Amino acid sequence: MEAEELFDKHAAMVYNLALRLSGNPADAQDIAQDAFIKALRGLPGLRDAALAGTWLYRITMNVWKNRVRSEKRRAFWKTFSLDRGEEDGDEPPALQIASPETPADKAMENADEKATLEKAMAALDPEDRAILLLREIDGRSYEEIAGITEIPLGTVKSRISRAREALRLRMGVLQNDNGT
Amino acid sequence: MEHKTCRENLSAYLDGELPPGERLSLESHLTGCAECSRELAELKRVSAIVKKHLMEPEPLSLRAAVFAKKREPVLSAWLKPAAVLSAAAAGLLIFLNLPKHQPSEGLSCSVGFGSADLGRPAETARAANGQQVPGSLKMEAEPDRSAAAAAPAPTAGRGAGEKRYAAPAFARKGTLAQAKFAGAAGSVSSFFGGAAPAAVFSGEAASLSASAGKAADKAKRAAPAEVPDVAADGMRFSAAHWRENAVSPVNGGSVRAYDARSGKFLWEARVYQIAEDADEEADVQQVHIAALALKGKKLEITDERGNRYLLDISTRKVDKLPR
Repeated sequence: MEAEELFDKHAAMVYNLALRLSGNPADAQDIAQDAFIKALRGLPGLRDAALAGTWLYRITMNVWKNRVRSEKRRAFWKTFSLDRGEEDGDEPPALQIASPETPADKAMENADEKATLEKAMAALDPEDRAILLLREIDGRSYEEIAGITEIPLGTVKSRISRAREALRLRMGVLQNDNGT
Repeated sequence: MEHKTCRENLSAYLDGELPPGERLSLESHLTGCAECSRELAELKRVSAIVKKHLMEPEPLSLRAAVFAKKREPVLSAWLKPAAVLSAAAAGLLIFLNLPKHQPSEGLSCSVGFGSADLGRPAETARAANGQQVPGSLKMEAEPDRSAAAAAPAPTAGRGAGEKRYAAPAFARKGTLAQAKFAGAAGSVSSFFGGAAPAAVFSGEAASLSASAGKAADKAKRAAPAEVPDVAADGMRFSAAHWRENAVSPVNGGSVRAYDARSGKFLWEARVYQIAEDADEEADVQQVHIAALALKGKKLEITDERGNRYLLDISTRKVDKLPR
């Protein structure tokens, strides 16, 4: 597999994984960048191209873990405060601008829905957010997620269930607060 | 299936991750339990919203950042100690081969291992050198001496590796002290197996330096030649040797256009792609532009390998010319 091909195929997912883990775009870009650089150096040793995604996501998780460890050592775990953004009254991450073709009310509805989701996501554990992303967006099986996150299979199952339940409850509460 | 167990398994059921037996049991429970059915519907809705909104587009700068970083030369792990050693050896060689001057006055520096006469006991050599403590460096301040007194240091006393250097003129002027550094003969010669230390060490250093030099030659290339700019249509065209933006994520192979009057950057066009092998040093794989020439409304570009291209300066379309 070529370097460009690996990047094109997985850049979006690696960035989003990093974004959900770190909680902010700046750190996400750094993590994604480091993960790709490590991966591209090790790419010649990758025997099965079909496993490239799993391998790359594991590298991304490890880059994030190492960052968290070093930040902890420096007592600057920035993601901690960002993860609690909702409690601190912080604004949720910037909303994605709806396409011009979308009718205004529909765009507003989408924006509200996304804002609600982002607030609910912010309350989750970073790893739970990553696990949910791998399941919902990348369609990874529980076994694959266990391999990527190095978390036991049973724990993956319970964490996905717990994360969805938390989102269900939280999104319901937030939507009621917003009068939707 | 019990109600509690069913609720716990709803998420796995939604993902198709339940074993067949449990799935059938859960489905059976769902037919008679409105609460679980409603919760499953809500979980499906949450899942749909997550799928719809969770992905953010990756920043455009990520690609350039990744591929720019990747091309930065990285010293192999085995090469790092060799590089450090060769740098140290080179530094020592330079120091030992500084021009030899006879100090007339002031600050001088004496360096050496102090055992030119291998047949002599170390104590004799040390005594001749005026050294006191084996294995240590000695700095001593001496009163101002005349040129005649300072210059004729006993040859036998200084080792083969010992050289005496005059300090620069600004340091010598009016200086009353002489600093003298001398390594102890015994400890250093035993480190080098009793052989003449300076000669052996110089040999090793030269060999290390030479091998590192060969590696460096292999890893590096000469800087690209300067290519004169070409002007046309109020624009100035310049061969871009070094990457600066997303259009040129690698060094070489693109042309930048500037306003001829103001010098303001207008655009950059990639003339040819350079496929790099990640296992090789990036710079030796780079192919830079060697010449620019104007052909009507087109710019003829010749690369270092002799390939020629035509860049239309209006449309920025590039055509490769036959060789």
